Amino acid sequence: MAGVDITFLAAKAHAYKPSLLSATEYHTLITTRTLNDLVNALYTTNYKNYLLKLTRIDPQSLSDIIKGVFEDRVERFVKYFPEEYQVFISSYFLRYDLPGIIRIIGEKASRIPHRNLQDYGFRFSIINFEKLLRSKGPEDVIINLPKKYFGSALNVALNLWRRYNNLYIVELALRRGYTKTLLNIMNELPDEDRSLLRHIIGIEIDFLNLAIALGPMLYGYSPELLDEMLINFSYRISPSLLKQIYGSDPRLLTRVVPAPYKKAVEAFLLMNDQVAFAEELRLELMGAVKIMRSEPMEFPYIFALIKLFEIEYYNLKTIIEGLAKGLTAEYLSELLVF
Amino acid sequence: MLPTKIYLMELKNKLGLMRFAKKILERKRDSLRESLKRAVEQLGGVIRFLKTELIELLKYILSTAIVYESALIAYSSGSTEKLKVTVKFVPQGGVMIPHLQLAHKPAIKDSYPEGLRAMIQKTIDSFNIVLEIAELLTTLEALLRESEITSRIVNTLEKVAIPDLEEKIAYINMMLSEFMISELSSLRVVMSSMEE
Repeated sequence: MAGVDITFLAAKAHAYKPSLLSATEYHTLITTRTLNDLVNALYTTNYKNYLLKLTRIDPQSLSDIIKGVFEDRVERFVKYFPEEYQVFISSYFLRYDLPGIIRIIGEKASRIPHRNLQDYGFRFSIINFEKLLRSKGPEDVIINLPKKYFGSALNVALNLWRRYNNLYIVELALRRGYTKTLLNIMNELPDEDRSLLRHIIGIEIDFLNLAIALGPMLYGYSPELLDEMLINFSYRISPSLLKQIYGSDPRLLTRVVPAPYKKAVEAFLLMNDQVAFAEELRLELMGAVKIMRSEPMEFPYIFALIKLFEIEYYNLKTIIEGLAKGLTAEYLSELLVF
Repeated sequence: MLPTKIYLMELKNKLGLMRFAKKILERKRDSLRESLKRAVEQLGGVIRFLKTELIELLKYILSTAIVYESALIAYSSGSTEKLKVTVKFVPQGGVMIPHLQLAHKPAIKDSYPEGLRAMIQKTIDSFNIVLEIAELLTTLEALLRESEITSRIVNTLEKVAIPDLEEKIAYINMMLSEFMISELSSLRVVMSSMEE
């Protein structure tokens, strides 16, 4: 069943919004000290029906349940989008598949045996991971990626792999490729949708560009190579500005970035990338809330809700892993976004 | 045990050697105690580091590993470069102590995405201190073990071996004196019978 009216889907999204965890529920979850306590606390939320499938309490089983909830929630919308939105959302979901692709390339290159198929992606993944796992070598993996979404980036990635044998450079080329495709598809969407979607996608691209620009500044990455990888899109930071300050003092960046990005840039400079990542998600959450307020019955509302589902999945996974690894509540709350 | 003069001389030589060995071992024990004292003094700094920096570093690594889990799994499969540590043994207080040194740091240039590169950089930056801790703890363990062995030998010499030898020497001395007295008495009897 495809191509359901977007207003119907938006109404469905309104019905699903209350299923998201509230700030009070998050506070209860953070203060739990063991996985057993966490499961008990989750039973008081909308997760209770899913938790009935939990046979034993360990981080892996609990993470699988949380992942299943995220996949279920996304699938309830993604299957029914009209054609133009379907293409856009499929292209967007490549960001979830990229770590799996890089992992397969790495495993092929080091001849490490592969894991289970479901470890590489999500149920709604558009990448055929089975085909990638069957590929003969790392080059074959790149060749077998869908041209529709990566375009000419596949050839670039292949050449870079042959020249440098470097996973990060291939990842950047692929990230750049699918982001370009995503932006092209986004341009096909109505103006109102496009301007609202920028509140989330714009932040993601800005942060990707920031991370690329900080490579040469903090870690001695080759500026020429990364120069080519910057995505020519500007939401709050212009890529040309980032190119200008490559060789200068990294601290200069805190002066040139807009105020909302300052905290994240400071975290990047202090090498607290995990805090910068949480800050990026926080800005995306604010973007999602902004979208939901301004366009309650259109596609951006559903897209923003999917973003909120993703953030909730990230939060719960962080709590589970944090508890399993013995991180304190103060430390955990720094990483959570709600 | 034969109460002979030759055996007595042998035992006396042995006793001399044992006393000499005890003196040397006592000196070694004192030197080990000094080394231990120094190591324990250094341990204060280590505990401070453990309480503050190392726990923070571990928390940082854990939180980065949680946030960038998928990237960490993806890149760990493709990464083959390893940290290399050389071990040199240096004598200290009569014990060979391992001296650890970072011989090769994996290059992070152009190789890792955000999150992982910061984690690797911070870990490498703190690794020398971690090696110092490992070196200090290994030194302490080796010194404590050696000190215990030395103390045991000194105690055995002092409380068992030397008193045992002294007792034997005293017994032979006593036996030899008695032999001499009985020999003298016999000689006197022989001499008086000859006079008669």
